[in-house]
Amino acid sequence: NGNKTEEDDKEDKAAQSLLNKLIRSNLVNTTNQVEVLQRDPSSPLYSVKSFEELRLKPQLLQGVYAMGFNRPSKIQETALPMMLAEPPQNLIAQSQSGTGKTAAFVLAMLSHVDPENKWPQCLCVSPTYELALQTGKVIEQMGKFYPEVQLVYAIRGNKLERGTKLQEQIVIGTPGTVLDWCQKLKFIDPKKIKVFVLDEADVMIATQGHQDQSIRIQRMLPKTCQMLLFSATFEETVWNFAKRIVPDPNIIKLKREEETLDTIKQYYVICNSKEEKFQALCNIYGAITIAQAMIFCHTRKTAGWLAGELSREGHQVALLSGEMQVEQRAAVIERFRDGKEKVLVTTNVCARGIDVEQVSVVINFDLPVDKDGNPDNETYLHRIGRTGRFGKRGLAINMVDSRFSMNILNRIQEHFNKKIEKLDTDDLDEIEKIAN
Amino acid sequence: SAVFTGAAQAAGNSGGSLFTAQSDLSAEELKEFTARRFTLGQIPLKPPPADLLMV
Amino acid sequence: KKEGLQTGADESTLKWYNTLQDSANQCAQAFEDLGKAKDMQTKKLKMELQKAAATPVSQIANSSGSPLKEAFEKIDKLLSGRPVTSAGKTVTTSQHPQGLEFVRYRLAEKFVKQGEEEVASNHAAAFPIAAVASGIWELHPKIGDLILAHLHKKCPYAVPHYPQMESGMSVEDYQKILGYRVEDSKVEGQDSFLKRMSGMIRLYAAIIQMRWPYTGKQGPHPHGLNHGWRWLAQILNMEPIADTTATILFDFLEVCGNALMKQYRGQFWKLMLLINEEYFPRIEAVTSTGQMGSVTRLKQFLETSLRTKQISAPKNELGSAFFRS
Ligand SMILES: Nc1ncnc2c1ncn2[C@@H]1O[C@H](COP(=O)(O)OP(=O)(O)O)[C@@H](O)[C@H]1O
Repeated sequence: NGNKTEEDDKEDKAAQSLLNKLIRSNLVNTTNQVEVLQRDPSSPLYSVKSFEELRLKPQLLQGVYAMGFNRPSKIQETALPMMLAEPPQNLIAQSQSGTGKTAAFVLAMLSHVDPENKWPQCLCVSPTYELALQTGKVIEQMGKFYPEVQLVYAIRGNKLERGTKLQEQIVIGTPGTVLDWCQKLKFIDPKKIKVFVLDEADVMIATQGHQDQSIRIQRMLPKTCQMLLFSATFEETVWNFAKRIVPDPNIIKLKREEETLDTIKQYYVICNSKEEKFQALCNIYGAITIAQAMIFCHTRKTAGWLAGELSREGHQVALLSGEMQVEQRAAVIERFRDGKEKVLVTTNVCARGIDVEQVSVVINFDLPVDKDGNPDNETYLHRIGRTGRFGKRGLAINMVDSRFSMNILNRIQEHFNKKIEKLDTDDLDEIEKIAN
Repeated sequence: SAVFTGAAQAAGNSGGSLFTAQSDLSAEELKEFTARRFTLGQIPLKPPPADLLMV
Repeated sequence: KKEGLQTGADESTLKWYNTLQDSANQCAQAFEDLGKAKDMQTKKLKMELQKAAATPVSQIANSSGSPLKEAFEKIDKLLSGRPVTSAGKTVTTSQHPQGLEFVRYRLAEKFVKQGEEEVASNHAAAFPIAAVASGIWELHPKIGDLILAHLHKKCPYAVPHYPQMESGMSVEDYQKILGYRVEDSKVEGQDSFLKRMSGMIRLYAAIIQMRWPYTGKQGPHPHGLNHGWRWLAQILNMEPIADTTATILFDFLEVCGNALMKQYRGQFWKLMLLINEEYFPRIEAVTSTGQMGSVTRLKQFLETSLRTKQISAPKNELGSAFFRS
């Protein structure tokens, strides 16, 4: 049954967000400027170019640097001074995933905590348990040199005894459980919360209950509590929700970087069969150094076959396939990111929404076509395109095995008005040239 | 061809061995190893002698 | 002898560096015919040889021991002149008089590129690559000199050596000699540059301490921790350069500080003290705001080490359980 229910779509959003977090090891490159709307337009706008300027606690500065950061990301340059200002300011911030939002609000929470006080002071709600866990990991890393600050997860599986009064300063969880802990079970005294973070607002509102629960939590917090809301996208619905959660906000927006083919070298290889495609692939692999590659096939069957052939050649291959549960997909992605497998073979269906920016080479073992057999330009752009004009160089190789697919390739080429060069994979000198 | 052999040894130090014999050290190098501290800019490139590891 | 920090590497270091470059160039010349071949047959053979050399290196992953062993054996077979099969095609170096030289050169180059590309974004990758490289180096010593030559060319800090701008050199050429990627006269960003340099330094630091556990004979390491001493001593004898020195020193110590500590004990701690008390302030003196990340990571490492009198083993080191898997 091809009709996906709305429920599936909601799950997809959270799942995609998680998979993208898992595959990401780097900041996303942005060249766009941030747009800032200040609550009080007459107050001066600070932006920082270094973490030193923020006058962080030394333990936190150390934590930030130990994570390998060198300087604030685009959005952090403006968001951090606002979030760390005294008195605290409310903020709504929107930028695509991977631009440093999580790191920013984690730093804000850690900065505002008083470790001497053994009660919850920061509250962070996330759409799902898995996403909450990812944020928790960032808190632990960044707070590595600040062990007095403790963290607890307010998630369904975490059952506490009645009458418990939490001692941890930071609580992170899903809206339902957080609400219960504040209201019914009274593990948390909401009046003592100083920072409230609502993460992934766009994913959050996809679930009706979550929106209401979040608002009910917010109503219990004191007027002086700093409210922060983050979202990757910003439709009208997200905006309306944001305004209900965050009074008198400063607003920061960073326009999504357009995906472009400009920094990509695109090639095609003529083959006569899938076996020949496989040979071509082996030649490419032998000739150029590919840290990690992602290979797209049209069907699950081809993907399975190709993964088998590659493994027989001794490659460490990961297969992302349609019938996998989110947890299984997450596990595959994590192993791939950690380099346990170096080639990821997949179909478009299960890799839709995954951000392949991290991968240096993308191979279309089959060209993307829609169900009518027309070129699927949007998918092509999403697989191959890169954001950021000064971003990483990318390499895309398309396998063509018939007049039909040659025609698709030509139409893709015309659509984007970008030349796709022919490549002879039997000629080592030629392949080596494309990698330099 | 004898082209490659010995290139690694040409570093002017002990080549293959983990320690340097005291007799292969110059007077200055030995002094650096026997002193409680190294002198900035004068650390011997040869590894220390095996019998001078405790200082 | 000059007092204080020197501006460049010791004469013996530079001589070694030049000798290695010369020998790599001679090796490249020795397979010129094969490299420049135009006829289809020879070109096909060249492709097969390249694949046989490079593919096993690209297959090195940190999943478990047995695939690593397979990759190692394929490389060993190829270098020993025995036939190897990949993607259904069989090839040996004896099919061309220059086959062996070609394969050696390309294999060494591949090890270094893998370090540059992969270790840069995933530090854990240094260990499996280093395990295979050091084992191959032990069995086929000529590979070792070529690995060093390729490594030094891409990352002079692995020598270590800070190239100087020579008269008549264009800025672009100088940037390339320093290890930057330059494309259409645009030089890569500092973060990306440092990431690649870190990758190669980490690979080198892993190689000098790793042994391939499966070979029967275990002579001395073909390029062992004495080179760790040499590298560290040489770096510390030179004037630091902003950002780069702090970055590579931290990378190097994090990966092989533990091994060096065990090997050279008191003498190693003398180095650590010197870094902490005299060398680190010199690094700070050349650091500007915005470059505090690398300096802070180094400082943190020094403080923890000196306070606990311990240097922890590197994360992601491959233990014996890995090699049994
Ligand atoms: N200032 C920074 N410098 C370098 N890397 C950063 C910086 N801020 C965040 N990162 C890294 O970039 C990636 C994306 O950051 P994250 O905060 O998760 O973004 P978002 O929440 O917008 O999706 C993470 O791997 C994170 O560790």
